[in-house]
Amino acid sequence: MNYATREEGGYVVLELEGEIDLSCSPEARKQILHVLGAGNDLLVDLSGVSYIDSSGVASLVEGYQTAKKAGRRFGLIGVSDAAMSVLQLARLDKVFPIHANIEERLEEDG
Amino acid sequence: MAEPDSRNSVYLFVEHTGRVFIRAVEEAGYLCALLIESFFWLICGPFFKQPVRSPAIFSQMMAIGIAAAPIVFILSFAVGIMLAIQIIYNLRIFGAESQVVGGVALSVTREFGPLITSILVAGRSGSALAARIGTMQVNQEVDALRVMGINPVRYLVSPSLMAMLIMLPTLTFFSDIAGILGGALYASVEIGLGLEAYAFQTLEILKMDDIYQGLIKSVVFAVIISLIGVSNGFMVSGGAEGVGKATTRSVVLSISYIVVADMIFTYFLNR
Amino acid sequence: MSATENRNPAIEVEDLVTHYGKVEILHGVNMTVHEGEIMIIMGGSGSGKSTLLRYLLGLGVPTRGSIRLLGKDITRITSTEMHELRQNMGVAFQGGALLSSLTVGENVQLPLNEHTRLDRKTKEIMARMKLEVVNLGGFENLMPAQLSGGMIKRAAVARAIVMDPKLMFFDEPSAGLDPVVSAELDELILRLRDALQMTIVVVTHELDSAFKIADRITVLDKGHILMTGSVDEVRSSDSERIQSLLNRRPGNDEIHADEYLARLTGM
Repeated sequence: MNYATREEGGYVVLELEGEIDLSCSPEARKQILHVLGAGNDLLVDLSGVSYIDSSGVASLVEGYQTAKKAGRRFGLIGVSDAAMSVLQLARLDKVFPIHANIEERLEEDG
Repeated sequence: MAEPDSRNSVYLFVEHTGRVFIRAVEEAGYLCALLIESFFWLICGPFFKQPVRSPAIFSQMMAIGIAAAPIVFILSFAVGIMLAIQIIYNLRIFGAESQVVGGVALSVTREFGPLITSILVAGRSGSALAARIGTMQVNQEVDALRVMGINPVRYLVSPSLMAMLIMLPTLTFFSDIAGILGGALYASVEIGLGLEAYAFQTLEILKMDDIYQGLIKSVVFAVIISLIGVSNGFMVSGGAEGVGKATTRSVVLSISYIVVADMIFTYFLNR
Repeated sequence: MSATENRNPAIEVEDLVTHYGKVEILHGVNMTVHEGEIMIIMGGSGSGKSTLLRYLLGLGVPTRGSIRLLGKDITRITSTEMHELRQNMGVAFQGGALLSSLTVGENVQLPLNEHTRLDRKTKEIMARMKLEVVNLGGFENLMPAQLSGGMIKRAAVARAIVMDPKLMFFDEPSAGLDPVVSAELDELILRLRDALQMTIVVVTHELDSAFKIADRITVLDKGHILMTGSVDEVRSSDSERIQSLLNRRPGNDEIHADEYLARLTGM
């Protein structure tokens, strides 16, 4: 797994890339909590993710709840079909704010 | 050569004895393998990233040791009184009642402490071990552990063995104190020997060797109780009835082995 | 022809012969399960289907033959390799086989605690997510004894899938369940295949459930494989034995008079 962060439209965008499995989801979790801990709004870009397992999804869940508690905005963008079906299995597709890309998200934010 | 006549009673007897013997050897081999494997996980587990978890050991220590302490105390106390009664009765013939102190101290630490404690623990925890593992075997929980990649010996046997190895000597030491206290109380009432004087004399008579002898025995008994309990549990087949049988068998076997081992040990330790 | 046949094999059983004591149970079983496929192993009691499952799970050493799971022959690999392979295998046992001394949540977390070094919070969330998948959200603090039979089975599924295994085995998933719960479980098995691309082996004697979820069916009888094929192929088979299994009629086995008498009299 690789990751990179950039800032866009008032968000920190965390781009995750490659396979997110048991071996690297702790790193993803650390990055998510780190960005949120610094008081930023976070969008996680999953468009480069070829596979995500439930430990990766668990990190996203924890991130979202942490953001909510801290009054920060959080969202997922570029969720691939494979990642989507993992989210759907636990009905998390109805929980996360999910958008195709950052433009769509910004449009909805208004 | 002619086939031996299978209806000949001598032949049947020899065959039966042979089978029993082979089964006993087989079982002894299984117990040894179990012992070695338990120690393997205790020592080498961490190197394979499969350590024996300390919470499991602690909870077993609570169940085996702390929970048994009151009953061990009561029984050892009673045995201490009993010994004092018998010894005083016998020593009265020689007018040497005050020698009761040494009699109680030595019999309790060398013999009765470890024996009473381990028989009690065999009945309480050895049987519980057999029942727990037997039930798990019947419910496919042992299979479930194996398919999850959790070695059942590491997960179930090692913690119990470790807990038993720590708690049985501890309980034995506790039992020694309770037994001597029982003897002291009786002696103070019967022959007017003060508690303080009794304690002082006991410390004078007792050597570390006497206590060690009891503790070494209790370590061996700990191994016997765990292995017999566990192996009977793993060998359960055939539902709840099988669990009951295994439980009974484990108690009878461990107490028999404990008494026999005690005799052998006492013989060799006192040569 | 089923669409899955072009995919790689996830499970390959070759010439599997097993004994229980001196009795031969499986007489040379061959079976292939492809990736992302639901294979049903069907047969009456005593057909050897539970035995076959035990050997697929690596719970026994066969007399002869090989069992390749994800390309590794489990009859010949080292225990370290087997340990790694087990992280990619999930099993839902017939009675659930939850550890009765642990809560439901601890049961589900057990494989994570043993195999991973994830953060405690991550493991908790993963376990709760899987409990949500099997519709047991909020039950993590109960003990197994407080659950009904159907709930125990579902919790066992949650535990089996908590590591996102590639191979999933179900032993009699619908046994002892009412039709509604049983249908839910069938639905869940299909979702696991579709959402997580799991390769799934189900051992069952329930025809309705088998026909509903199967990609292919293997029919086992007296330690032999009678046939392997799609639902339609099995249904339309002209084998008398299969038809009698399907219609729940006792088969008209040929009787060998000498053998039969010997069996009855023990002489």
